[in-house]
Amino acid sequence: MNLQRIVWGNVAIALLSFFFVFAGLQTVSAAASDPLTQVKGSVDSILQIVQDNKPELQGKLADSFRQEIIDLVYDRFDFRVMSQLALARNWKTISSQEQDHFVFLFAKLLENTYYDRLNSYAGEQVIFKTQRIQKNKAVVSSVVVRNDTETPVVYKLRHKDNDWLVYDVIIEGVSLVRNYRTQFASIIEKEKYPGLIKRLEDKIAKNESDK
Amino acid sequence: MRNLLSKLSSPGVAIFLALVVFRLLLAPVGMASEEDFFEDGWGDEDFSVQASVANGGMVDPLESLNRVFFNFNDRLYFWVLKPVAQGYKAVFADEDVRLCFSNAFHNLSSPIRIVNNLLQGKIIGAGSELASFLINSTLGIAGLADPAHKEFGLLDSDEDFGQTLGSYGVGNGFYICWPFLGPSSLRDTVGTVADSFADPLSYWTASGESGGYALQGGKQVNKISLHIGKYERFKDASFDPYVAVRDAYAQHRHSRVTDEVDAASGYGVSRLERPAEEIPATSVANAQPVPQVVTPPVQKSVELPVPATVSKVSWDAMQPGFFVLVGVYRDPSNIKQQRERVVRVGKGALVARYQRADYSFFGVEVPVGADFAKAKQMEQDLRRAGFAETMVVMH
Repeated sequence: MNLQRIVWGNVAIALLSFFFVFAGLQTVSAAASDPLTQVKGSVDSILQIVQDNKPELQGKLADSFRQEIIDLVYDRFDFRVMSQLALARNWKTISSQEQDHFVFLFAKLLENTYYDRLNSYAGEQVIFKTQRIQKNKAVVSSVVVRNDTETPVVYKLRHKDNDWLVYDVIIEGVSLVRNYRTQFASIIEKEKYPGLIKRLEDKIAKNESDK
Repeated sequence: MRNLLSKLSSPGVAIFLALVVFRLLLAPVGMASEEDFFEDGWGDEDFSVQASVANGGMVDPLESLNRVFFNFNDRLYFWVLKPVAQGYKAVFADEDVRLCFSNAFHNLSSPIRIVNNLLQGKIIGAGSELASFLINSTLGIAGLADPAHKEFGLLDSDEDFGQTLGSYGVGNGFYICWPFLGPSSLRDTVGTVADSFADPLSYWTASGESGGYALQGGKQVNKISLHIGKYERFKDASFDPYVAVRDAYAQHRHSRVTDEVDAASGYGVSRLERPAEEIPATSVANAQPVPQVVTPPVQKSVELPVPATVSKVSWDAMQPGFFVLVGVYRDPSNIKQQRERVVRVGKGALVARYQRADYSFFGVEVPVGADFAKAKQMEQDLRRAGFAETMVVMH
C-alpha cells in the first residue's frame, strides 16, 4: 500500500512537472504578446506623449503630436471589426466598397471625438488590473483613477497576426460599440443607410470646422 | 430620531427580514454570475449579426413623452443646474472640499446599500458597507473623510433596490425618462421609491423641515459640480443623445445587476469575495506554476466556497493533498457540460477548475488530510461514472 502510494506520487509528480514545464514554456512565449501588455503599452505611450508635452497638464496639446498619437491608436484598434459590430446585421447588406467607406468614416469620427479628450487630461492614472484570454479573444480590465474616484474601463480584444487588437471599450458597463450600434440602428430605421452616412459625414465636417 | 425609530419599527421591517431570509435560502443559486461573465458574457454573441437589439434591451413605448422630458432635462441642465453648480463651484473652489461633501452624502446613504446587499445574499458586501459606515461616521468625522476605503481597504458594494429586483429576475419593464430625475425604468423607479425608506435624508425631507430640502438640493448640486463636462462630452460624441442616453442607462444598469463590471475589474467586490484565480495579469503571464512556491496572503484567505458548482480556485493556494484530474480543456464550456455529473460523484468534495492562459483543467479536490486510498476511491467512483481519463495527482 505504502509502496503503491510512493510510486503513484512519483509518477504524478513527474507527469505534473512535464505538464507545468510545458505550460510554463507556453506562457513565457506568450508573455511578450499578451493582451494586457499590449494595451498597456499603447495607453502608456500615449499618456507619456501627453505628459511630456502638456506643461502643467494645462492648455492644448500641440498639433505636431497628433499624427504620432493617432498612429498609436490605429495600431491598437481594429476599426473594421468595430464598424462591423456597430452596423450589426446591416453590415452584410452593403457592398464591400461601402464597407470600406464606412470603416473610414467611423474611424475618423472616433478619432476626432476622442482625440480632443486628451486635452482635458489632468493627470488621471490608468491602472491595468487583470486579463482573461479565451481562444482568440481577451478581456483586459483597468481603472482610471482621479481624486479617489475609480472608473472601470474594460477593453475587449481579438488576436490577429500576433497582435491583440481592441474592438470594444466598456466604460462603467457601457460598451462604446453597442451604444453606437443602438443609435445607428435607430437612424437606419428612420433614414436608411444613406441617411446614416450623411449624418456621419456632417458630424465629421462639423468636428473639422470646430478645430 | 425617535420619529425615525418609530417609522423603522413598522411592518416594513418584518417584510424586509422575511425577504432577507428568503434571499439567504436562495443564495447558492445566485453564485454563477461571475462564471457566466467569463464563459458567456463576452462570447461569440458579439460577432453575431443578429445580436442587434434596437433599444439596447430596453423597450420604450413612451418614447414621444420621454423625449419631451429628456429635452426638458437637457435645458434644465444647461440653463439652471449647470450655472448653479458653477456658482457653487466658485464658492467651494477647492475640489477636495466638494469631495468631502460627496463622501458625507455617500456615507449617509449607506443603509440603502447595506439593506440591498443583504437582500441579494451578499453577506460580505453588506458587512463591508456596514463597517465602512461605522468607520467613516466616527473616525471619518460624519463621513467627510473616507478612512474605511483609504486606510482599511474596504471596498464599495454599491447595491440598490432596482438591482435587487433585477437579481431576483425582475426585468426593466420599460424605459422612463422622468422630469428632474432623469433616466429610469419601471423597475428602477419602484427601486428608487423603496430605497427612499432606507435613506435617512429622505426622512428628513419628508418631515417637511427646510433643512432636509436644502440638503437634498445641496447633494445634487455638489454632485453636478464634480461632473461638469461629463454630460456635454457624452452628448457631443452621440448622434441621437436621447437614444444614446437610453442605451447607456440600459447597459449600465444591466452591468450593475449582473455585477459584470465587478467581475471584470474587481471593482466593487470585497477582496475576500474575489476569486483567487484573479491574480494580477503580470503574475499570470510570468507565473511559474510549480506547486507550493510562495502563496500571496490574498489567495490564502480564500475559503473554498459552496461545493455545488465548479469553483475556480488557485492551484498554488491549495493545501498539499490529492487532486483527481478529470480533464484538460481549451473550451471551458466543456467543463460546464460535465460539471453536474462530476459534482454528483464528488459527493460534496470541491469540484475545482484551474485556469491557465488558454486552457483549463478540472477535477475533484480530495478533502485535505485524506490519504491516498481515499483519492483512489474517488477516482474509481469517477471511472465507474464514465470518466475514463482520470488521474490522481498531488499538489
